[in-house]
Amino acid sequence: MSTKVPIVENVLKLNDEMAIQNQRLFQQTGVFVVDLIGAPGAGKTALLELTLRQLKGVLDIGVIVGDPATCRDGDRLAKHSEHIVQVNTGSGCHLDANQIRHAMNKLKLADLDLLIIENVGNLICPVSFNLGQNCKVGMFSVSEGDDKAAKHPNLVVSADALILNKIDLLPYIPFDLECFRQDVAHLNRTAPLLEISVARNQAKAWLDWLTENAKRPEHLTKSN
Amino acid sequence: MHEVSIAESLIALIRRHMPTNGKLIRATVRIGPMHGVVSEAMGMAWNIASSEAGWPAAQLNIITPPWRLRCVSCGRCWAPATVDEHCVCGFTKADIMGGDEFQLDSIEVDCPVKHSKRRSTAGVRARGRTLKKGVNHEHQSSNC
Repeated sequence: MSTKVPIVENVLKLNDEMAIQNQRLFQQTGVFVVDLIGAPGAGKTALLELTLRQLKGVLDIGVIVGDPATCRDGDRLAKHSEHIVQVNTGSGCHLDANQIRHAMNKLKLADLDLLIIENVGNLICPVSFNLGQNCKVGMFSVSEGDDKAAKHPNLVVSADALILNKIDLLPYIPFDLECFRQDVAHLNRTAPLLEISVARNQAKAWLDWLTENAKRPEHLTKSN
Repeated sequence: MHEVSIAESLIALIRRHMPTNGKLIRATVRIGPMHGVVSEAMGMAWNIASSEAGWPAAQLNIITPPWRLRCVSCGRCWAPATVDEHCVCGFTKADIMGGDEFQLDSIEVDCPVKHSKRRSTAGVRARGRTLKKGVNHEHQSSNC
């Protein structure tokens, strides 16, 4: 006999349940957690190198860095902080809550003010997977083209802040900045667009946003 | 290729609702375009995951609701062809009212036992919906 059983539950409910457990642990230890999502080559690791350098003495920062293979990013970041965990996902195109659970066990969370999760370079897959973060940050760069925000609405809509990196390249690359800004505003009216150049060491907008929210996380509610 | 992870998660979720000794015939999911799921890739991932779960003949019915936007200025609701479409009033900001769905709607099981082990009370709300693939965008635009 065939029976139809109504369910109506989130497809990733099991991941969400693990993410809630992660979130509780983060809250218990008082660490603010950022999920940083961007394409390969957007400058995520370079931004984190800058962040670790610039905020040394201001915030104690740990990083969980996801990559399909190699420890290169982890090695780069380990020059600036002892709280670095590299996660290799193999063919996996995103981090999930279970991987974060394992990785966070290797960190002394109580020693941290801020934990940044550098997700696997990808603008689509990581967005649907809740990790237990306080906020989600989407990162684009000028060299990717001005249409990337419109082409990746899930990231733009779900982000608490958006970064546009490599603005130093604007004079050399066809990139309609107003069009990009309009696409972002069309999809997300609340997330600030932080325009920076890591290569030129110009990331004050990001550092200010990060510092302010790490100290006052209560008004960020979109990601969880 | 997050379809593989999604298929595996789906199987794990379905197991929670499967009756003892039940055999899965069909699962129906509702996934909006926001999640970037490719139906063909999802179908392949499902075939592998469902076979490994012991339900090689189980079908996956994917319902893809359209985008639905509401203009922030004039309040008009419409189903755009693409999410970057602006309102006819010229205003460029909109709220997303649909297209972000990501849920397991129901399962159909062949079972000797009458009811599932765990039945979601929220599932009652799904009764009476038209679970029809290929929803007409124009028709839904007025339901924003």
